[in-house]
Amino acid sequence: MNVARAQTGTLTGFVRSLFIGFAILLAAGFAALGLALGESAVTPIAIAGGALLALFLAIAWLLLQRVARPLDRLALDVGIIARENPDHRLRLVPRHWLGRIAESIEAMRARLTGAEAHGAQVLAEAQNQGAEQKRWLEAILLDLTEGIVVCNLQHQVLLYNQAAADLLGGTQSFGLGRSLFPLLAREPVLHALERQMQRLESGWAEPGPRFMCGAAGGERLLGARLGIVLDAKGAPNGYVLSFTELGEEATALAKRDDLLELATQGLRAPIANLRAAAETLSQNPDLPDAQRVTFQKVVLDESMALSNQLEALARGYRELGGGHWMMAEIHSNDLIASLIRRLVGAPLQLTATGLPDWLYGDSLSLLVLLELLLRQLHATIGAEAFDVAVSRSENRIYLDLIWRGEPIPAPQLESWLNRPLIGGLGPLTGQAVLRRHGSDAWSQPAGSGMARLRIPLASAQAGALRERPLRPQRPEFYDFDLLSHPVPTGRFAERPLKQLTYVVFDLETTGLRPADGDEAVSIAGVRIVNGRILTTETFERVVNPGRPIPEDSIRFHGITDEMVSDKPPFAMVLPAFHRFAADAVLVAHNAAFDITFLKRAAGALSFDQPVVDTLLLSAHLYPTEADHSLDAIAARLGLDVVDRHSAVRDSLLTAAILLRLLDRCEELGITRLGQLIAATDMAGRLRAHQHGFERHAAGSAS
Amino acid sequence: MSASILVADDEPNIVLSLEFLLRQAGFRVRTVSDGEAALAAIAQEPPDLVLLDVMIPGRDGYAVCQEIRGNPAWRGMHIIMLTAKGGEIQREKGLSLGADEYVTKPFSTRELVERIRRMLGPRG
Repeated sequence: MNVARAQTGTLTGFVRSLFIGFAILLAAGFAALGLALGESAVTPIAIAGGALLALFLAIAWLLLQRVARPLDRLALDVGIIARENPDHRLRLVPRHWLGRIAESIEAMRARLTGAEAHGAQVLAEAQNQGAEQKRWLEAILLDLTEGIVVCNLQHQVLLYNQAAADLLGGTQSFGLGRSLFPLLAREPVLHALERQMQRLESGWAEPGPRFMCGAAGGERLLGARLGIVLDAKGAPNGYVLSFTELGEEATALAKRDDLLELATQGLRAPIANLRAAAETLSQNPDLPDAQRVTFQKVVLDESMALSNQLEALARGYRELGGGHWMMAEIHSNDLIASLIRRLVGAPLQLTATGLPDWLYGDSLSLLVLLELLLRQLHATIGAEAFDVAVSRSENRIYLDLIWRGEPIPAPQLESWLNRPLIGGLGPLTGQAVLRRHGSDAWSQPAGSGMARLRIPLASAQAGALRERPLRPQRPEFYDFDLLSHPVPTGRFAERPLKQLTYVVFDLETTGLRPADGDEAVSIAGVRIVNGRILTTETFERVVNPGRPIPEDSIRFHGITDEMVSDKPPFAMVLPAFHRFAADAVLVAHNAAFDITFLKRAAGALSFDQPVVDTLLLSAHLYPTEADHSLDAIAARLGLDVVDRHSAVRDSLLTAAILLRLLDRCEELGITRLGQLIAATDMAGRLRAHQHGFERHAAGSAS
Repeated sequence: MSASILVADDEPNIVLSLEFLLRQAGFRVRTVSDGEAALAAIAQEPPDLVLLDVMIPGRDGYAVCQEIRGNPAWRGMHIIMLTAKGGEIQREKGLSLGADEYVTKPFSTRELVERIRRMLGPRG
């Protein structure tokens, strides 16, 4: 700014010094001319020179006064208008030669002022509206007994209500822009945020389930819910937390639990005492008097105790309100993935095994409990490698930690479970978490030198009830060259069936006729090692079939032309699958179908390992059953796979079926792969023959 | 010699009935009221069957059961767990830790004695 003013200041001075310099030069020029021409010429030259000089000075003066000075003044004024005072009047020098420039500047100033006023008005309106909305929001937030906090992803508080401030320990420690975490336990919030982000990625926009969270230095337990705030482009840029104190709710729930315990367990012992004494009395009419009196006293005492307990029960029941613990559906894969993330850096190696499933529980408290158990197990027995196995029995999901070594004695496990848990869960113990899940934990041998620690949990029905995809009824394929050709050799031949490594795989295709140009659209596989399904060691690829995918196949596999447009052809992903399956027996249901596609695209790759067909194995083991489709076998064996990733679902189910069929093989004395393949081969020939006969019979009948 | 039974329960009123009925049925009966005493009595003279309440003081029934099953010398010892914990999970825990039977209180004394007779065979 000063630079600009200094420049305008020099304009007059510059013009002035220019003219003075020029006048001196002119005068000096005439003087020199006079001297050169001699005395006779001096007078006329002096007169002419003087006149010219006067004229020049007059012009210079006029230019200075009418142009340079007004310009300087104008520059000064415009500067003031632009920077300091928009209402500043132009102080124009009278009789300036600047023409209509001043009017133009005035017009410009008028427009500037108008625009400014308009902007200010718009701003004021927007501010009013904003303030109005803020008042509304404040009124709503104030009315809520729930605490509300809005944070950005750096966990700085952007907005909160009074209830939040009260619950989190008063306004003095709570403020806009400050971090949420000294006041609210960090871990539960981060965990809920992480889970909600995962849910968001898999397309679940609704707010997440309630979770527990410690507050105010662990004195308070809150029940909270978290929702992600998205920006205009749909990317997460913050989150809203709503929470209530769990104190009352927890007290009510604890009361209800006490009541239930009183109603079920508390009554059992006195009734047992009563019944035993009464039965003794009635079955022994010849009891000596002294003993009879003792038993009669038991009957009387216990009856009295029972009456009192029943009264307490009825009273408690009347006082009890509603409410239930905060449980949500959890997918076992998510739980185990979170567990592995929590244990990064610990010298523990976790392998997820078994069939993934939906369970019902509180994610964080289960995680903290599992972490505690794993760390204690590691510290006590030194084991580093653990399987985290998931299995289902009717409506129960077992979460097993499995290690090589001895089971943990019950009192030791008890002592671990009686310690308060870390991780922002207030004063909860492992035992309390188990009780809340209606569960218990114990350790027992798991066979072949292994031991397990088992936690049974409820299965989540809602997850299981989610829509299951259709499975196409494929015609059975028989190709004995493909199936029986690789005779098991080496380790495949020698080792017991359960100790072999298997890769169970499944193809989705454009149709059921490979001979008529149908092609694979996806390949999925899972590994079985030492009799355990490695849940997370899976192979999943969608491939481009190089031809349009017919509508009636899409409804089975859900893979559309659009989804495969940027995918490589089947032959290009086969080297990766070849590596995945390199050391393993190949397994598929109705294997000839999948193997046909596989071999056709394999090129130079050889898939020459033995192949097991679970359809034919089932047909051999259960010859009286008519239906050996995947669904029928699964239903007979009580197996189901509830996994969001439908790509590996069939492979997982086939893997689970294989393990059950191998158990049955063992019972029947089939212990080596050669025997098994010979048996399925026979079953295949029988079925092919039978089907051929049926077709023939059907053909001749029509 | 008649079969021997150890009753481990801290409820004197049920012990009274069980002891009487089992003696009447011809068994030799000893009674204890906590986990440590139960293990000591077993070590002193291994019984043919233990009637084991889950919620005895000290080492609870689960711990005693696990201990018995962990000792090869006591293989073949029958364990019937008695409990006021009626849940399915607790039953499963009891059986997983090696109990032969898991009986929830209250129960029929006559049925219990019958069951013990069957378990211990014609000796009783």
